Amino acid sequence: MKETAARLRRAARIARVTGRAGLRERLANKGDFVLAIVNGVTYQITVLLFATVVFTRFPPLAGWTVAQVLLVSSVRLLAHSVFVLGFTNVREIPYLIRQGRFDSFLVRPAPVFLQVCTSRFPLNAVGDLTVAATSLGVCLSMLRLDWTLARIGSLVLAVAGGAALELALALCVAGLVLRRAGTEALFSWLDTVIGAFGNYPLNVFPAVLRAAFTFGLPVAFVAFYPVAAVLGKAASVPYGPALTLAAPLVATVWLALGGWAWRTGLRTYTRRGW
Amino acid sequence: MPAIEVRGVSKRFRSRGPLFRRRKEGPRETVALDRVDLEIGTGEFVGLLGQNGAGKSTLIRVMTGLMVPDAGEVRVLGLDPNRDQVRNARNIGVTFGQRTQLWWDLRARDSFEILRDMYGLPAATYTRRMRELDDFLGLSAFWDTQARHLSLGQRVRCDLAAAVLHRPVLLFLDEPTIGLDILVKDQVRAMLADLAGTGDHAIVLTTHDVADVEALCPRIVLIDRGRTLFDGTLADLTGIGGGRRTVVVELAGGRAAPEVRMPGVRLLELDGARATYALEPGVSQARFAARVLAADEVRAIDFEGVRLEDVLRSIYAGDHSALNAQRPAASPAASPAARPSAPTPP
Repeated sequence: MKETAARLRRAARIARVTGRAGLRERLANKGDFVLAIVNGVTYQITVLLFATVVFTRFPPLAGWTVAQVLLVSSVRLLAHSVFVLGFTNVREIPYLIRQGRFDSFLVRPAPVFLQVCTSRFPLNAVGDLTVAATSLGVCLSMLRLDWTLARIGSLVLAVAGGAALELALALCVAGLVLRRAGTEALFSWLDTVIGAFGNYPLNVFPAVLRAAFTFGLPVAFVAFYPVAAVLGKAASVPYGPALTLAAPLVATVWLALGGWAWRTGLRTYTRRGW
Repeated sequence: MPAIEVRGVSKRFRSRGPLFRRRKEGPRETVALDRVDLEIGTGEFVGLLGQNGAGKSTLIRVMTGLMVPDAGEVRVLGLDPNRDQVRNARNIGVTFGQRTQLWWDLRARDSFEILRDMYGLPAATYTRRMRELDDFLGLSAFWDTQARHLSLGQRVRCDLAAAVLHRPVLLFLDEPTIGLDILVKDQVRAMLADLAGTGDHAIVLTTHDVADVEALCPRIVLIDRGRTLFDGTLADLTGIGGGRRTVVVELAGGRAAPEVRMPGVRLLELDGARATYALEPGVSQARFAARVLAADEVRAIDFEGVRLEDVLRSIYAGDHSALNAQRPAASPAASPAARPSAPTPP
């Protein structure tokens, strides 16, 4: 117990040191700093504008009102922002390997994962978070829900579970990338799939995609199923209402899988082919 | 306990080859390491040599924990360097040739301070060590420069300082003087010799610069196609310490040099008063000199070992005769008492 506490304290100290260094590096160039924030804001605004245009032209979507669909998008965006804020550097591993920085992480007295995550401060997360929080505020004001403790808890869990699922999937890809150069394109693929399909109710997709996003790649658990629980629409989701409460469990299983993929990747990493 | 123990380590790289092949061929396999045994003790300075692709870098990566071998076992101060990555990292320092470990957008000094915090060095210790490193490497002239704006020589010196800042027991240096000018090379060598002189560190150097090896490494490990071809002293390899040597004898008064009849001695060249002999390994230099001195009035006797560069050139070309009668390859390291001592600062 004492040893675990000491290890955690050491990890926190190192995260503070390397995280600060990552932020100072980003602040070293004013132009890059401003561009990174503007980039995050414009990207997320574009996504929201597209969604808003679609919803106002074709309301409602499979029994979901514009505000309800916006809640799915907002929770997805917020979960993504939390993931970006803490863990987006996992997707930068191919660059870190090419620069030789990843090898440095392996010979320093700190967990490699921690060093990767703090290697570069994700400035675009500031833009992502701002847009996601604004969007959430707008759609919640449109929905006029009764905010019970259970509902607030469900919303917090939805965001945390979505971020955890994104992390787990990124770790699975990172494990592959460490094992084999050339698999890094999966990071963009993953981002595109979650961004393209995670913003909408699962009901609008054909049966094959509904099954794929529920029992295969867990895109539907990033936002759709948990938001259905928040909105009290459990009865209308595919494959039964129990799935609206399953996101934390699904995230835990996928995190375990991601952790295993990461550890295996580290053990098989050779740097050949980079 | 040796600082590094490598037992029967093998590593192969497999490549499936192109998707469409003209001829039917199976997956390609490259043997990077083939049952390598190696022990390195604290206080040793070892030159790990071999041609490009011989397996040196793979062996270094295995010893530093950057790569897991397919077979065999590696222990670094009793730890598995891959599984115990964090604890192992406290014991080792590494330089990666052309790749820097500095924070690219920060001043070099900022990187040192980050490493100070990461290794938990007390402020006084950090200040003292930085002063020592500055004395050797002249860091203060450029440590306020962003790493990305440092010249190669400045960056290499900063990387070296970063690798030794926490005074690791083990130091792995991959081409630490590549691309450096003569003065900077001298600075780096002086610093490494000083470090080795303490006897508290085991240092493994991979380089193609023979001058680095001759200046710093009493022990040589020669790798070829993943196997240990030679593991012994620099003197053994170049013939100074009982290996093959040549002797030039010049007699006084211009008299023709005598033919010395001794087992293991061969006359190579006779040029008036100068004669060149080859001494096979094991022939006593003292007995040879006594025989010559007794026979005639001698102006000069000059014993010459073979130059390391020549030995390496012939070995790389496939002539392994230079290794005959030397210390057997892949044998366990010498006992601490018999190990060659670290070099003294130049």
